[in-house]
Amino acid sequence: MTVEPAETELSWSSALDDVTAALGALTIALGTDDDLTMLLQRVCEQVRDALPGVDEATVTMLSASGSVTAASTSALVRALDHEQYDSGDGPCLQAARTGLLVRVSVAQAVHRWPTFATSASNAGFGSFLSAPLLLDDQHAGAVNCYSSAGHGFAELDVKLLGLYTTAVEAALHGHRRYLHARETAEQLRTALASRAVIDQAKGIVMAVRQVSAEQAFALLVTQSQRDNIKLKDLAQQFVANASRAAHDA
Amino acid sequence: MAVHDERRDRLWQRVVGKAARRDSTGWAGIVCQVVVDQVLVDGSAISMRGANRSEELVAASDDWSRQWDELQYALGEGPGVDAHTEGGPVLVSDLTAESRWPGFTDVAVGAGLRAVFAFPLQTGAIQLGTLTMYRRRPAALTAGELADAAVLADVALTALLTDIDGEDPAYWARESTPSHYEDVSVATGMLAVQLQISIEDAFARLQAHAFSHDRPLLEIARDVLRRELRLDSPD
Repeated sequence: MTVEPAETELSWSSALDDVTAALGALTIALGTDDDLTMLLQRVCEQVRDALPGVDEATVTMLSASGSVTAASTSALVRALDHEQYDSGDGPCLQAARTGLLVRVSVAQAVHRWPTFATSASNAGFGSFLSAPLLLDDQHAGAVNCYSSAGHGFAELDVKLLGLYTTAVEAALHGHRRYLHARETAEQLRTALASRAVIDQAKGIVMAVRQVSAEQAFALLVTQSQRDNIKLKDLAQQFVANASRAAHDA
Repeated sequence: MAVHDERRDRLWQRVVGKAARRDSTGWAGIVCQVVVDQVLVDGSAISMRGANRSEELVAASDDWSRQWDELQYALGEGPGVDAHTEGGPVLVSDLTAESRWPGFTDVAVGAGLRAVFAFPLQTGAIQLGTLTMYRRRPAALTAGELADAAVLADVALTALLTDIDGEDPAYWARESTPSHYEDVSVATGMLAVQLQISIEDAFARLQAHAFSHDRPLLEIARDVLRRELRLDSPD
């Protein structure tokens, strides 16, 4: 055992802290679909309550299958989001697609998005702020704020909204890790069950053909390739046949 | 929340501090070791539990603890089995006063086991198996030990998923590594043919023989594989 120089010890200890924090975060981030929906809902409500100019808020998520409003503070703004998805354009889609902040008053929006501007105005809103959510190549979204005031949103609103988009991005990354983990766990349980069946089939072949475990496994693999059937399905057939033979006997 | 995070960070540090051992035992094996250091139990084991009794012993702190997870596999009953099916911890501070698992208790108490604490490895819809802690003396976990144990069960779940995932799975998680209970499954298949009985009956025959001769199921299975035992009669 050699004595480590103090400097190395220090850097190791700080690296340890980093890894520890990352692993701890991973554990905490694991959660359910319901957790994510609740979190996004909470973000919407906090954005509405904490940002001075905001009266209603929604979260837009884009994916290959289309756009959805994942959470909202009211059915009214949810409908305004959906109008944008139906027409294929609007400030929240613009922010989600370009990754750039969109800040407009309804008066400014009237030329670019006339349908949206009219609907928003009819619903009593005067300005709109949408901050992009940056996730990965396949996924993007936006946190959208609606205000009844016509003067647009202040710089302070933009800054505060940045805090929330960071929180949402972290939660979404965590959620995707959870989905990945769930998939891994499912594969594992399937592999576990098929492995037991393959081992049982090995024993069946050993007894029927009077061969060793290795030879039995080789025979199973050969037959699975020859008949173009998955090893675990072939094994399942052997086990089912053995049980049927037992029943007939 | 802050206390919980400190606890989590401290326990993760213990696990990460033993990273050098990861190659031989996987992260799961390291967690078993940390459990013994931190919770003051005599041993611990992690088993993955799937459908139709399929099960894998992933890691254990020592042979003494390993046998208790094996015994639960052999009998299909015990605190770990219940923790998994019920989805909550099963805490037994004095096994001699326990009546839920007569077969398990009978053998385990006779061999010196006195307390068992089983925790499911689960989060959301993920449910993988159990982390079970074993004690030679009858004593409940203290509040601090219980809190550590619960966090370590969370840590164990992450450890397990990390061991399986990615380019470099832990030894136990590799496809080329035989299942811990392989011999039992193979022997079950052999017996089914030899005695012309179903797989379920063949397993029950092995199980009954192990129980009545007070020997581990894995040993009985190996005798069958060496063709030293045919188990023609149900005893």
